[in-house]
Amino acid sequence: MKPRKLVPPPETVTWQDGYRFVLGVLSLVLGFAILIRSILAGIITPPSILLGVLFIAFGVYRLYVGVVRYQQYRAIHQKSHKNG
Amino acid sequence: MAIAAEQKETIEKLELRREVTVWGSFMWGYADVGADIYAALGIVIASAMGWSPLAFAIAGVIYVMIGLAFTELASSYPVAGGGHYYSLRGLGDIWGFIAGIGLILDYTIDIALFAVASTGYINFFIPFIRDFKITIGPLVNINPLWALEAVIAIAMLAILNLRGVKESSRFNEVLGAFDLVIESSIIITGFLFAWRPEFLAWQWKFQAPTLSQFLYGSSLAIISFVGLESISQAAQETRRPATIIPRTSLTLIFTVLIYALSFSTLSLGILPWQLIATREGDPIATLASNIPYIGMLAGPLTALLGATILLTSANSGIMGVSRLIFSMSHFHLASEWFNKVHRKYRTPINAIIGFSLVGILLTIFSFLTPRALDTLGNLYAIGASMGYTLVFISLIRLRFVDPYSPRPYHVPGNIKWKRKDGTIVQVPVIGFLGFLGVFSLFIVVLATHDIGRIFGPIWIVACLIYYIVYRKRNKLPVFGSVPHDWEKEQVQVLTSAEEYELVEQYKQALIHRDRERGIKSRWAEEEIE
Repeated sequence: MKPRKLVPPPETVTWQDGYRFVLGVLSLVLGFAILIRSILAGIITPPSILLGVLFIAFGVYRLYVGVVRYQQYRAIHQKSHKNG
Repeated sequence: MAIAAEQKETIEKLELRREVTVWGSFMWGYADVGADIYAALGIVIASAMGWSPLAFAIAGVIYVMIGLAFTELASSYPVAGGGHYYSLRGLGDIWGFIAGIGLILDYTIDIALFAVASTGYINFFIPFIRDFKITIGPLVNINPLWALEAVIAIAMLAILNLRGVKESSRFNEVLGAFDLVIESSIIITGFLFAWRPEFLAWQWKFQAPTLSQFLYGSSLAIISFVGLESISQAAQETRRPATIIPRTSLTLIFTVLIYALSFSTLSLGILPWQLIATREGDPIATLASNIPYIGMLAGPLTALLGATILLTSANSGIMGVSRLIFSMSHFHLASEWFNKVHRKYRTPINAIIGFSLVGILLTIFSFLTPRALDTLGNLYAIGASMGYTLVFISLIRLRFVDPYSPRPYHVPGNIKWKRKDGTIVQVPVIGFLGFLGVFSLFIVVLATHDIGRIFGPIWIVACLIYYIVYRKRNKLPVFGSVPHDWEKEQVQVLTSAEEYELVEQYKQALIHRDRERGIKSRWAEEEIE
């Protein structure tokens, strides 16, 4: 049995989408800040690499989800515009 | 007429209101798991020293596997009971009971530990109570005022829970949102303006723990992730759980993991580990007050934050344990006394009152020892690691014995295995890895936690004696299982959750199975009717 899609395509842009976008950008900034500051200090430790990479991965994921959802929203919007 | 009335009463007796939304479900879990770092950071750093981030990362890997297993199981079986219910369905009554008592121990300590920690943060503003110490006979330097505060906090939360899930879920939502914002602010400003990577590197290199210290620290670090169970506890009260639970669980897993790693890495890049270890009661407030620009405000604000989120976590403990024992009672694993639902609020009244009292007793006991928080923290991991070991076994076994229940979410990494009858089972690799991880942790906890090593086995033996007496008195099999109609139960559960699409999928799968076996399906008959 195939697992169903958990999140339905968005019908409208909400404040939650804005929140996700801001969160994604902040995570990216923080991830790069941790990595760059560690590199500039000349000593890289496993915790700082792990955390920096985690924040960047999370930021990329959040922004990716945001873009996909926006594309879905656009597709629905254009379809309803054509029909209506 | 009498039968109909009896049925109605039974349904009312068993049903909990479905009031929890997506945000509520997330916050229910976050309130429990997110608070752990406030209590755990100091005691973990005291043991794992400069390697604390690694201790949190190792515990985090195990935690992620536990989280994924719970996500699959809670969305497939959205009933109050969590780990105990999965063990009951997968392994039988006695294993369901053992998983249940492990998690009850966990939740009850949760109530006491977080009530004590919460009032500890409140005492940041009332130093008189924080520093108050008296000696009564053999009890040296005890703090009865702090104990009294914690007891009052538990009593207040019990009343809140008696009023019903709607009120207490809203309570979690508001406080949780506030905490999320403040925690994020500390992490962002801390990493941007105060964190010194060279200081972290120095502590990493020159302040490494011994192996036994590191193992102890890692086993304590797992307690900073315990609480994901709350989401499955809330499953029975969540609207459309099969849709909501996977979304909230996956978000929760990542959020908590990143916060735990962030706080440990941030702390060791700002302060020496010895200072954080000595401020065991308020490590996050100590950290916050050392952040430039916002430090003066951040100290008191974080103390307030710690007090609120830890209180929310204690609240989740009461909610969790009351739902768990309610479920155990429903399946004849514990006395019917726990099964009573409040006539007006429809909340499990006896369970809430009973376990709040146990939480109060544990609180008083912990204050009779030199370090109340350490005593409670020491006990915490034993129940969780025991319960979670059985959850992984159940995850694997349920894939074999119940392949027909719809699974809105599958743990990643499955191997297809063709059975003799031609059916294909997806074997979860994470189930085996998780089992190894949690079982290893269980062994480490037994080996390194002095109080847990004694109290854990005593708790198991005492509960097993209760179980044997209860089952014999009620003429139920002690080592066998009471016959259950799991298929009917699953249909009822999914129908009650308004997951009609899944009900249909499930029935079709059962009809198909019966057709393959060449027998008449009762579900086909029901459809015709």
